[in-house]
Amino acid sequence: MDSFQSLTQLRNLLERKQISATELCEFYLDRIARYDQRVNSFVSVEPDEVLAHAKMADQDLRKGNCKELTGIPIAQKDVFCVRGKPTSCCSNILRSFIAPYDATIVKNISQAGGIYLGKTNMDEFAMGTSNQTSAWGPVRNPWDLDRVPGGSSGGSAAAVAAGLSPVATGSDTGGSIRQPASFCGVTGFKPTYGRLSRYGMVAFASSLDQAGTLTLTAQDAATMFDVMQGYDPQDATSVSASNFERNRMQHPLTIGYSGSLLQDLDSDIVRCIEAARDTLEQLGHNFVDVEVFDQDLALTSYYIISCAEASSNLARFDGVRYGSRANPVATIQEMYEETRSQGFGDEVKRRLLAGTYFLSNNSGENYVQKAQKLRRMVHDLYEKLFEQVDIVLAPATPSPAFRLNEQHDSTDMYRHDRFTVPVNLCGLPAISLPCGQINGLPIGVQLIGPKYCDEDVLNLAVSFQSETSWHLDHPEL
Amino acid sequence: MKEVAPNWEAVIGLEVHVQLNTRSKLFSRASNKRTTTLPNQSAGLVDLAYPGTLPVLNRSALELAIRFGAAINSPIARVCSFERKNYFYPDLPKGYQISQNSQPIVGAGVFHLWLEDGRSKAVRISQVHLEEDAGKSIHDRLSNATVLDFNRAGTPLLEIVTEPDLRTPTEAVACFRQLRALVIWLDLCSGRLDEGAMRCDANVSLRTRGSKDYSTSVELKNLNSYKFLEKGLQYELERQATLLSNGNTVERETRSYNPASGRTESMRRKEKSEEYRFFPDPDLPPIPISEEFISRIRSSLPELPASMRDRFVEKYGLAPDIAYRLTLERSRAELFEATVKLCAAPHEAANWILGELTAIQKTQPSPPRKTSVSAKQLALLITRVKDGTISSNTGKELLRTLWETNLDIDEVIKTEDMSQISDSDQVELWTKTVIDENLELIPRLLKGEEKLYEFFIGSVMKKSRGKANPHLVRQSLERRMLKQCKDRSTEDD
Repeated sequence: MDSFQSLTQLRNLLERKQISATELCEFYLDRIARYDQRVNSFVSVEPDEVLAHAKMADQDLRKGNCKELTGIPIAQKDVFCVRGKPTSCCSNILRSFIAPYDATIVKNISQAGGIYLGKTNMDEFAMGTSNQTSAWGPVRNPWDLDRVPGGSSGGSAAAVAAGLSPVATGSDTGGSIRQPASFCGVTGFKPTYGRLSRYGMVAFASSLDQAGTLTLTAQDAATMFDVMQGYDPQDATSVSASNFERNRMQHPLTIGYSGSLLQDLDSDIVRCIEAARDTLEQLGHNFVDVEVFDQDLALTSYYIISCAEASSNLARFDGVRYGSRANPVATIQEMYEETRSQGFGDEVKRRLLAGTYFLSNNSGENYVQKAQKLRRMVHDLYEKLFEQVDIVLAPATPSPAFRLNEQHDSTDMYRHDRFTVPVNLCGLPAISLPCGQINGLPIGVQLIGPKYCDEDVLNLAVSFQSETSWHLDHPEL
Repeated sequence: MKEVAPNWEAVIGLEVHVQLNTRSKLFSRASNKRTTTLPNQSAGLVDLAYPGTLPVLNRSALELAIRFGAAINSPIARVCSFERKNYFYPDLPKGYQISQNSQPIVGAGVFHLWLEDGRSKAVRISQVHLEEDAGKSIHDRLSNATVLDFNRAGTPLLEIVTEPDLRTPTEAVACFRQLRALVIWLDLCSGRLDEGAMRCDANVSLRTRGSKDYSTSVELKNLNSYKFLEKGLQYELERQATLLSNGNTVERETRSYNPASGRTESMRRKEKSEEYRFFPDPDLPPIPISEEFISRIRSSLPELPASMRDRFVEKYGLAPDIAYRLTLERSRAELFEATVKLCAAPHEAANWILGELTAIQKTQPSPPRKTSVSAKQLALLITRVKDGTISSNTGKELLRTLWETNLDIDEVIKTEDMSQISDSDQVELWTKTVIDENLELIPRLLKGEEKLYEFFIGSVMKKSRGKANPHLVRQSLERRMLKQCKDRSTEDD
């Protein structure tokens, strides 16, 4: 069987009984066993359990009890709690942690018949853009094993790109789905904030975190979105259906495009983005030039807010109730210090320290309050923008995948998020789609929609992929 | 204190924590009802801050907070929002407490204290806010470790903060007592001090008498009973007075009252204000509060103790302190009013409720939330005492019987043969017998020995097995004493 069948194709094969769920799962387990030593995209896989579930799925399939995902193996980013499974966020502080419950999206997927395949590698606590901060070692880009897959959902993107899982979940706080999707040549969808429950997704920055998917096609992203989305009474930021009942966009769309965004990019990338624009134009859509918010200001706002929230969210990892605890210690203070010094990696520590500082009240307005003002400005600007246009087209990343261990200082790495971060600041839906290759490395383009217009973004992405074949190109391992 | 420093006066403010009696916790579905004393039984994943869990506001806690705000006539915020108060402590699972700092649900207001001397005192409430309780650190269970019980973690708390308007420990106790009475009245809290359902801290300082300085230097903790509050404040004020009169200054610090030693002990210095890094909790978007919601809560409020007190004075002619004591508990006040409606004897009703009924109540196993004597029964009892069917002593006995059973009073009087004997011939007979039996004591009785008089009355009552109408007994005894006097004087002559 072809290693890169989309979810839609696999569902067809299963429904027509051309393949069984057991065969399908064996196929992916076999590929993981064969290739993942090199890629390192998975941090835990339990083949016996996967096959046991596949067997049950086969019974359902025989009885004709087919749900949306019956028999489909699905990888979960290690940020999602799966009952009875290790959930470490790829941090030493949670190395031994077994989640006692299912995240809402995990529950939604398993209720739709999806089979839990394993946990994928990620940057520690989703903090990073290269998947090099994982306590389980870096993930390698299947297109070039000397390069990074992007992050923080690097394991998920690499697993899908390498054909080790047909679908993987991800989380996106500042681009953590879309950036690795761009680096690995897969489709990465980050829905509107609140449409997918955050319950059971270990928090990095609560006001920015959003679950999503890495898939081979936009159609698969749409299928997964249908299954995963919905109001969750366990998440107070979850939105109820009434909030997003709005009319679907009518063809042709008006798409915003900012030439100034491309100014400091390499001509290779500009060419790919322009090609994407041409494709959409050929589909009959109209482009207008728009001004977008100063990216560096948006980035500043993002890093202050995300670090501040993280410093508070990660305070619970204190060694008292779960996770690792440093031993022996003489005092409570020492227990905190040792547990957290040993448990967290450098990047996490850097952000927690910065976040703690940003929240400190140095007489009057602190950094976080200023950053929130900036965030409101970005938000207002996008609201205005979406009065003029239906969708905004933007690069996903300023470059293709860079080399592992390539020297970057933190702020350089942070600047890498400048195209993806404003979307999180505003809680918008956005998708990253493969739109070209540069020296054999894939690169993505983003389609960004107004709040709650997730379906419109997905529809446009599907029609884009009907005219392009970049998403059908796969690396050789 | 006054002897040490007559020119100083105390500046005291209270911070009262009230555990709200909701079914589930403030931000989780875990039970808020403690059905067991076993540790860590009523803490769910949210309360234990498991990775990935999220808080969701319990609307009934919000409703109770607004209920309190409406009762003290304070402005209610139009938006309910929460902030994180960040600090590390082992019994604080998330590493932050969800609280309300910049936008408390209830704004500034006034609480009217009723003082024993009949004065009323306005105590300003600076704010009332909702927050979650922490778990408990237990340091004395094991010799080499602190153990943690998270049952309490996430319990909804209403924190009531007063301005430092209290001037004496007595006023502070009155304030705590009356706030407690109010939250029980409003059915927000069990009020059980022994269970920590209400806890009290105080901010306390001394200032030159008449000064307008409201700053307080010491935060005093562990004042969780009326007694601790009074003793703790007294000790602390004396300590500060001694320091000041010796020319020393009072350190800004947090102290704890140690009931064993009767002293206050330093916990930590407050050199600079603590850094809690407050920020709006991104997990809890602000919830708009509609005018309808507030007015629905407002209109569901019961009549409040202060208003009832004034009404009792005016309508029934009760003394203010009697009315105050009746209105300390809603069940008591309601029993009073219902009883008076049936028997039209307000003073008797008040006496019975504050006297015998309260005495019985005190002997009952806790919690004695409700009196189990109905207004109908009490009214009939009062009527039967008034119309002389039974003596008031019998009435007391009867009340105890009624507490345990739900019998018809007239039936009990009949079957238990309790009716008072007002047959004066019968009473005369008993009196005569008693006198005849104690002739040797008569001279002393006639000399006016009070004790002996009571002995004779008691003996007659005993003869009647308690049923003789005491009024008649007295009349009869006095008549016979007079007769004895006359008899004796004629003998002397």
